[in-house]
Amino acid sequence: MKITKFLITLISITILTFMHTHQRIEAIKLSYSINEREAALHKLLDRRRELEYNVAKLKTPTHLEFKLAKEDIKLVLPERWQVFEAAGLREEGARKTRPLLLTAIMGLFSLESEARATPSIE
Amino acid sequence: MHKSFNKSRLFVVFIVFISILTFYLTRIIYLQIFKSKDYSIIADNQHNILLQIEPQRGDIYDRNLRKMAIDCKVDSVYAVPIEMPGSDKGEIAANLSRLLDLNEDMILARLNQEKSFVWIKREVDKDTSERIEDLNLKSVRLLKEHKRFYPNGPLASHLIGFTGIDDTGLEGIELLYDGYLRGTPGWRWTVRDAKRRDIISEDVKFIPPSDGLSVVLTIDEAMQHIAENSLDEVFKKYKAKAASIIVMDPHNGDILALASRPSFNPNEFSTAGADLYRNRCVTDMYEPGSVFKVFTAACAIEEGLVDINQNFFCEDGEYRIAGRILHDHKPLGTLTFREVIEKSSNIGVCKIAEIIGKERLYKFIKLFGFGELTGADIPGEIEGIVRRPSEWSAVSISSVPIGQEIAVTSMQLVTAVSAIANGGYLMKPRVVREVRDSGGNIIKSFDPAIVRQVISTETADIIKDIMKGVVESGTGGNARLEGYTTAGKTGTAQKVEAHGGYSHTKFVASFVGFAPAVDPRITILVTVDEPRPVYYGGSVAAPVFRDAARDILRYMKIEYDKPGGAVKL
Repeated sequence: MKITKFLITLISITILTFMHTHQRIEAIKLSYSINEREAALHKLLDRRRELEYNVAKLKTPTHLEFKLAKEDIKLVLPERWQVFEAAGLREEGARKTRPLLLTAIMGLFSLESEARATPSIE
Repeated sequence: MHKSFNKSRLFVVFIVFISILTFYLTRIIYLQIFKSKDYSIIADNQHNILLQIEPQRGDIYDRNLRKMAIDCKVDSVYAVPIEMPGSDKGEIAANLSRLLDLNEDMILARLNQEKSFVWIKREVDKDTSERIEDLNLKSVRLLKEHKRFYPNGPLASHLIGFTGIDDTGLEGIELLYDGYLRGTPGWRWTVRDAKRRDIISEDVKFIPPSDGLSVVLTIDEAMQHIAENSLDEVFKKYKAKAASIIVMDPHNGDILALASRPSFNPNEFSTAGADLYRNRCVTDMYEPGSVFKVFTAACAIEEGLVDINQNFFCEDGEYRIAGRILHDHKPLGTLTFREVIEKSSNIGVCKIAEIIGKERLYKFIKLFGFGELTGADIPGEIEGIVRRPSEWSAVSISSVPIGQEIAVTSMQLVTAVSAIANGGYLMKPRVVREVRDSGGNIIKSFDPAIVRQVISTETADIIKDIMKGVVESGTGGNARLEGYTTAGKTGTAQKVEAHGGYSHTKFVASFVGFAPAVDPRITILVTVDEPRPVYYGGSVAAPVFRDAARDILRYMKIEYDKPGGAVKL
C-alpha cells in the first residue's frame, strides 16, 4: 500500500514536471516566434516610412516642376480676360450646401431655376 | 599469499577512485558554493540584457500637413573585434575600406581594439548596406539607426534646420522644438539565449518608448517654393552677397514663407559651411533706409501733428541741418505730406520728423517693435539697435527718420509693416501652429497673439493709402500687380563702411509691401544685400515682391480687387 502511494506520488510529480518543462519550452518557442514577427513588423513599418518619404519627395513642388519641364508640359495661369465667373455656379454651390428638407420646400415653391442641363445618355 | 596480493591491488584502485572522486567533489563544492556568486554574475551579464528602445522622432509638417522632415531607419556598420580572428583583420579592413570609401588604416586600427563593439561607418545608404551583407562577415554587422530626411531638400532649410548624427536638433525648429520632437526612449530588461535571441516570455520589465510629437509649421510648402524661386532669380541676377524674403499673414502673424540666401541642403548640412546655417531674417541687422519713412509718417499722423495735404518744401534736393547736408535722390520742390512718402524725399521726412520731435519718434519706433525681439520661434534672433534719444546727436533727427542710425532685422520690419496692413495691431510672428501626436491629435496649440495696438485704424488706413500711392505713382512702380491693389515702400540704404561713414558702392535694396491693399492678405519683405550693378530697391527688390505676390495670391485664390477684374455673366 505504502509503495503504491509512493509510486503514484512519484509518477504524478514526474508528469507535472514534464508538463511544466513542456510549457516553458513552448513559451520560449512562442517568444522566438513573437521576436520574428516583431522584426517583420518593424521591417514593414520602416519600409512604410521610406515609402512615405518617397511620396513626400515626389509631391514636392521642385520635383513636380522638374517633371513638367521634362515632359514638356506647359501650364500657364489664365489671363484676366480668360476668367469668367458664371452666376449659375454660385447657385449650384448654394444648392449643395443647403439642407435637403429646405431644398425640397424651395422646390415646391419654384424658388430656384427649373431648367438644369443633364448630360445626354448617348 | 595470492589472496593478500589481490586485496592490496583492490585497495590501490579504491584509493585512486576515492582520490578522483574527492577531487571532483572538492571542485564541485568550490564552484557551486565558493564561486557561485561570481559565475552567477557572469551568466547574468551574458543573458540578462538592458535594451534601450529608441523612439521615433516626430515629423515636421507645413500648414497643410505636407511632410517637411521625416525620420527613417538606415543601417550603420559596426564590428565586433573580439570575435574576429587576428589573421582576417587585414583583409576585412581592406574590403570595408573599398566599400565604405574610408581609410584602410583607420579601419584596421579600430578592428585591433580589444572591444566588443566599434563603429565603422554610420548611416550608410541602402546599396552600401546590401553590399556589406553580401560580404557575409560574422563579426561585421548592421545596426538600424534613425536618420532625418528632408524631402524638399534646401526648401525652408534655414527655418526647419537639421539634426545631427544622433538625431538631435542642431539648428532651426529641429533645435528649438527638440524637446517635443525627440520623444522618450523605452527600456526592456530581457533575457537572451546563447544565439543572442530575445526570450520575451522571460522579460522582467518593459517600458515602451514614447515617440516624438510632430510639429506643424505655419509655412505653406507651395508659397515657400514660390518665394524661394523669386529670391533665387534676384540673388543670381544681381550677384548679391545675400538676400532674404519673408511672407507674412498680417492678420494673425503667421509666417507663410521665409527664406534667405545663400542657402544649404539640410540632407547634406555637413558639406556646407557654418556661415550658411544662419537665418539672416532674424540674425542679421541692417539700416533699413527709406522703408522706415512709413513709420515716421505713421507717427506724425497718429499724433495729429501733420495734415495729409500739408505742404513741405524739399529744398530742391539739398538741406543743411546741424552741419550736415541732406540730399534727396533728385531735386524736389514743394510736396504734400503724401507726396513726400510717395517720392521718398529724405528732406521732406526730415522736416516732418523735426515737427514730431525725437522723444515722440523714439516712442513710436519702440511701439512698432524695433529694438526688441519679435518673439518669433527662430533661434538666434537679435534685437537690432535703437539708440535712446539721450544718445542721439544733433544730426540724428535727420538720420533716424529716414532709416539711418538705426539697425533692424527683416523680421522686425515685416512685422511692423503688417501692423499697418492689419489696421494698427502689432502681431507676434508665428512660425509653429501646433504640436500633434502620432495619431494626429493636437497636443498643444500656439494661438495668434497681439502684442499691442500701435496706431489707430484711421491712421493705418491713411498710411496704407499713401503706400498705395508709392506703388501707383511713386518709386515702387515695379511692384504693381495686375488685378490687385498693392501698397508698399522701396528702400535703398547705404551700408556702413568698416572704417566708418557710408559706402557709395555697397547698398541694401529692399521693398516691403502688402496686397491686396484694401484687404491685405499677405505682407512681403524682400531684402537684397549688395546687389550689383543696379542697387535701387525699386529696381531690384520690387520686381521680386511683384512676382512672388502675384503667384502667391493666385495660389491662395484671392479674387482680383482692382476695378475691371473678372468679367461676370
